[in-house]
Amino acid sequence: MQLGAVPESALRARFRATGVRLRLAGLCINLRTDVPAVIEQILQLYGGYPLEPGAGTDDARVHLKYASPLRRFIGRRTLVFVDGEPLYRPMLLRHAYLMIDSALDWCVSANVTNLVLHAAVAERGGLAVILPAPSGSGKSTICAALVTRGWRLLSDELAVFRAADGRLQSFALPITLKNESIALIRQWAPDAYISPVFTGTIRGDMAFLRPPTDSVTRAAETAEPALIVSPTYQVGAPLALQPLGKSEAFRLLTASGMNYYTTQRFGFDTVAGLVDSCPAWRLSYGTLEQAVDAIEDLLARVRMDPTASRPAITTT
Amino acid sequence: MCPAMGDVDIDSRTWRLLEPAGLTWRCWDDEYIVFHPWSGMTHYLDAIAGTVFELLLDHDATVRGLAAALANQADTPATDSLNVAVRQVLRRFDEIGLAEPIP
Repeated sequence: MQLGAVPESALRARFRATGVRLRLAGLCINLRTDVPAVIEQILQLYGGYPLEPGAGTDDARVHLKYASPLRRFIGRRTLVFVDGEPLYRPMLLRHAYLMIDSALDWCVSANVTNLVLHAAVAERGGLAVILPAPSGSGKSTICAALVTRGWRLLSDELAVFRAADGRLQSFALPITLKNESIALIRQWAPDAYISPVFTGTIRGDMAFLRPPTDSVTRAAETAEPALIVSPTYQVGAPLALQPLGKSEAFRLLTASGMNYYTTQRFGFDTVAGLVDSCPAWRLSYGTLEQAVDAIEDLLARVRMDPTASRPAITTT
Repeated sequence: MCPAMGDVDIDSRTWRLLEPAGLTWRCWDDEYIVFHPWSGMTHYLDAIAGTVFELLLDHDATVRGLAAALANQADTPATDSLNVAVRQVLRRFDEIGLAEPIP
């Protein structure tokens, strides 16, 4: 059963009492809070996610509450606990949902033992594009643009490689949009649900895009890595597409490795195999239309000639 | 790692890779990237270090032999500066446990 299928009043009561058990990225996470605004956001963003039965084994427990009973009325700060331990210092009530988002990210990434790289991943027709780039480069933006054009979201933050075969696992949580990307995606996908904007955070303005239903219901499906594209967004810039050398691509991927150095030989073999088999590009873009078209074109080339590790074109 | 080897020590010994069967590497764009399983480290070797690594994969060698092979590959004379470069590479290989002088 999905979260959104349960009557809202029953859910709100459960959030406050024992917590709601959600299945996220293969984990069962118990979410508990009595902050009404946070419950509202969870219902909006996670309505399509599967609920676990009311009793059972939790993989992690997230509890967000007012920093003190009095703070409910004065001060208005909240605290988040993961498995009983506070995760951050108290934050303003108006930013409380951000703590839930970070706590969920933390729970899922802390429970992943496979290789994890800092990259967005989207899939179409079984083939995945990996978008590694530093924070602020626009990888979540382009990932949001792809998944609102029919691609399946695997993650806007973490590329998780399954140890058995190097395939990519889904880690589909709501996509974090920051600053100007919020307006860009609102304009790009006016029908998509985007949360209210959280202003004045440490990372500027933030909002969250609800993943398409298909990305949530197919979360157990893995995808084959097929293409590496390192994106950079520059306002009004013309599209520029340059091939990434294999050595350069390897450095880029391992530099963004969340746990590359602890995964030892599996980490090396996975990244090296990825670089051997996937064409890699550096993409600079000024509009989402250009970027999405370019990535779709690159993936179409891979699909036509899966043995070609480097497409013939060099610049468009 | 050998304690503070002087140039004479380095030059007078024959060098070999340490347990090469356990190493994993790729050579892309003239750069060797080597995974060292005992330290868990990934090492990036430039053109000279990469060629020394490649030569040592093939056979054990002295500084002079490695410098001569490098010079031969580059079609240049084996100069003192090439010997210096090879020594530096071998010192570093020794530090990171990639190669050792044969006792």
